[in-house]
Amino acid sequence: MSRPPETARFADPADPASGARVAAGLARHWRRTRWLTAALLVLWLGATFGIGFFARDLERIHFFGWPLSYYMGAQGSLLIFLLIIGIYALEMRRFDREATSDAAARNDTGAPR
Amino acid sequence: MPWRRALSRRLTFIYGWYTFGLVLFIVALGLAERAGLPRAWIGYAFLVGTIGLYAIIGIISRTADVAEYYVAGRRVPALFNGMATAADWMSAATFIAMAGSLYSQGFGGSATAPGGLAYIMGWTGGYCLVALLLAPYLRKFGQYTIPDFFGARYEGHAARLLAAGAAIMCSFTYLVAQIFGVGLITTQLTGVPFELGMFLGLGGVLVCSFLGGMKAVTWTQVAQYIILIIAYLLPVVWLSVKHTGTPVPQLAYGRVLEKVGAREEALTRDKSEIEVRRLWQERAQADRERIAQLPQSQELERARLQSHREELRAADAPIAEIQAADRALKSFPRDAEGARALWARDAARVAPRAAPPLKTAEAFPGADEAARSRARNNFLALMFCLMMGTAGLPHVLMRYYTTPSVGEARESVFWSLFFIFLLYCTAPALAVLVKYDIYTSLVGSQYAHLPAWVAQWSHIDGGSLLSIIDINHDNVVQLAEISINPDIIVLATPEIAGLPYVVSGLVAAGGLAAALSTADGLLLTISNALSHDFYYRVVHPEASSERRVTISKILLMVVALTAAYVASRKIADILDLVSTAFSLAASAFFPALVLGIFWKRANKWGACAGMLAGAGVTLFYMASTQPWLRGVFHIAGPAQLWWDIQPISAGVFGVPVGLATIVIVSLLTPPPGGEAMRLVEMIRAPEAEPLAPDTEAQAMLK
Repeated sequence: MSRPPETARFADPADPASGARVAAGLARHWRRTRWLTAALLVLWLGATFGIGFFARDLERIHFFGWPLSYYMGAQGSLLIFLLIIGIYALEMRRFDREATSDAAARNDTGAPR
Repeated sequence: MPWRRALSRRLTFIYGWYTFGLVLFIVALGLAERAGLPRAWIGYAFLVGTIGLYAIIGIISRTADVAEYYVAGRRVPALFNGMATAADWMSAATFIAMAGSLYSQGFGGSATAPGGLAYIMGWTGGYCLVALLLAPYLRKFGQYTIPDFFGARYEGHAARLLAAGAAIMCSFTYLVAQIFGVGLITTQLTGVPFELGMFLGLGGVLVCSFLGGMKAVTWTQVAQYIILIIAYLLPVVWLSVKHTGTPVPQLAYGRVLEKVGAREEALTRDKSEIEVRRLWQERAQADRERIAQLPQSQELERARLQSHREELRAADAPIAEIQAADRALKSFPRDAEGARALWARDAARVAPRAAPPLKTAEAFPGADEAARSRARNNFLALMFCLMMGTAGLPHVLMRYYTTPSVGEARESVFWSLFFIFLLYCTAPALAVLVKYDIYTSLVGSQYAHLPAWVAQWSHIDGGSLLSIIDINHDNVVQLAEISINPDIIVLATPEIAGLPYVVSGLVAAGGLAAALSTADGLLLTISNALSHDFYYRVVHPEASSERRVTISKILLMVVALTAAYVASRKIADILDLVSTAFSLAASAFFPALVLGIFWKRANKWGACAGMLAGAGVTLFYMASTQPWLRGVFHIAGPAQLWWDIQPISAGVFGVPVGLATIVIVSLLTPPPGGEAMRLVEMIRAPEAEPLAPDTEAQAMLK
C-alpha cells in the first residue's frame, strides 16, 4: 500500500493552485514547530546541564533554606520541565489548529491569504 | 468529543471509588492491628489483596483483539495514560533505592559513585525529550511497536530486526532487575523464601498481561500508581508534621536541610566521633597489615582462635560464649586465600566509616579541584545517560501509541511527568527528613535505649542491612558507629516515623506495585517485539490476528519464566542492571529515532550502522569496565576508564558515536526512497480531521 503525499490530504482536487498553498501551509507549520522545539530544548539544556555544571557556584545562593543548586536539582528543574512540556502541548495545539483551519479555509474559499 | 468525555468521567468515577476502597482497606487493617492482628497477617493481607486486585483487573479486561491487546484500543485519555505511564516508568529502583541514594550520596555522589540528584533530574528531564522529539510523532505514525517505526522509516527488515533485538536486550535486563525487586519485597512483606516470593509476584503480573495485554496492563497500572503514591507520601507527610509542623514536606524541608547541614558540621568536629573514626581507621589498617603478612598471619589468627576456645573451656565459661568461639573458629578460612578475601572484605567495609560525614547539600565534594571536576563530569554523564535512556526505552514510548490523538499524546506526556513529579519531589524530602531524625534522635542516644526499629532491622540478614556497634565502648551511639544500607531507608521510614505496622505493609505493597507495573510494561514490550516484529512481520506475514495474539501470550509466559530464572541466579545488583538497560536503550534507540523524525536524509544503512556502532561502543565499554560484566566475560587486569567516566554512564560514549555513524553512513549511501520521505512528511504534518462521529460510536461500543 503506497502512502499519498501529505498535501493531497488537505488540498482541493478541483483547484490546481490549492496544492501549492497547502504545501506552503504545511512548511510554515513545520518551521514553527522546529523553532518552538529548539527554543524549549535550549531551556531544557539550561535546566539540566547548565544547573549541573554550575552547581558549585549556585550553592552560595540560598533559597528558603536550600542552597539554590540543591533546590534546582531536587525541585526547580523539575518544575521547569513541566513548564516546557506544558507550553509545548498548548502551543502545538494552537499551531495544529491554525494550520488545519488555514488549509480548510483556503480550500473553502480558494482565495490566497 | 462526547465519547472521550464520557469515558473520562466513567474512569474518574471508577478510580475515585477504588481509591476510597483502598483507604478503607488500610484503615480496617489498622484497626485490626490495634485489636491484635499479628504482623505476618497484615503482610499477607497486603500481598493477597493487591495481587488479587491486579488479577481481577486482568480478568475483567481480557481480550483477544489485536488493537486492544497491543495498544489498548487507542482510547486511553491523556490523564489516565499519564498515570499509567508514571507507574510503568517508576520501578523498584525509583521507589526503594532513589531516596536511599539521596540519603547516602547527598547532592551527587562522588567521582567513583555518581548518583543522588542525577537520578532525580535525569529520570524527569528525559521526559522533555520524549515530549518534544518523540511522543507526538510516534503517535502520528500510529502503529503497534517501536520496531514498527524502524521498519517503516528505515525501509525493511534489517532496521526492524535490529530495533527488536535492542528492545529485547534492554527490556530484558531491566525486567530481570524488576523481578529481583519483586522477590526482595515479597520476602520483606511476608517472610516467604526469595524464590517463592518472586513467583508469587510474577503470578500477578502474568494473569494481568497474559489475559488482557496492553488494555489490562493500562488499567492495572493506573490502580498501581494510586497505591504507590499513597504509600510513598503517607510516611513522609507524617515525618514532616513531626519535624516541621507542616504536612507539606516538599515545601518545608529546606529548613530541615539547613539544620542537617549544621549538625553535619558539629559531627565532623565532635571529639567522640573523631575517636570512633580513628578506631575504624585502625581496624582497616590492621586488616591490611594482616593481608601483607600472609600466609603466617592466617596461621597465627587460627591458633589464636583455637587457644581462645581452649581457655574458655578450661575456665568453664558460659556455654553461649564457648559456642560463639566455636563458631568463630569454624567460620575462619582454612587457607591463606580465604583469609585474604575475608580481610579484604572487612577492610573495604570498614574504611568508608573512617571518613567524616558527607555534607548532604554540597555539590561535588572533593579533595582538590581535579577530584571535584571528576565528580561533576560523572554526575553530568550519568544524567545524560538517564535522560537519553528515558527517551529510548521502548516500554515507555509504546505507551504513547495508546492515546486517542496526537494532541492527547502531547498532553499525556505532561500528565506522565506531573504524576512522576509528585513522587520525585518527595524523595529528597524523605531522605533529608530521615537523616534529620537519625542525626537527632538516634545519634547521641544510649545503647540501652535504642529505638525498636533499630533492633528489628539489625536482626535481618545478619546485620547486613543495619548494624550499630559500640566500638569505643562509651555506651553512646556515634554517627560513625551506624552502618545503614541505603536500600532500607524507604522501607524503614514508617517505623522511623513511629507509624503503626500497617503503614510499613502499605509501603512494601507500594514498592511491589512499582516493580510489578514496570515488569508488566517490559514483558509486553519483549513479547510484542518477538510476536509482532519477528513472527508476524518477518516470519509469517499471513498469520491471522487471533494467532498473533495467541503467539504473543505464549511468548509472554516464556519470557517471564526465563527472566525469573535469570533473576533467581542473582548475577548482579539492581542498580547495575538498571544502568546497563538505560545506557543500551540510549545508544541503540535515541539517535536513530530522533534523526529518523528530524532528518529526512537518514537512511537504512546509516540507521543500522548507527545502532550497531552505538550499542557496540556502550557494550564494549561496560564489558571492559563493569565488575559483574567483566566477571561474565572473564576479563582480567585493571579496568581502563575513558576520561574517568564510570561504567554506569557507558551510554555517554555510545550516543555520540551512534549519531555520528548515522550521519556519516547516510551521507555516503543513497537517500531513502519516496515512501520513507512521505512517511516523514506525514508524521510531521498537523493532525488531520477529528474522528468521524460513527467511528466514535463504534469505539464507545467496544
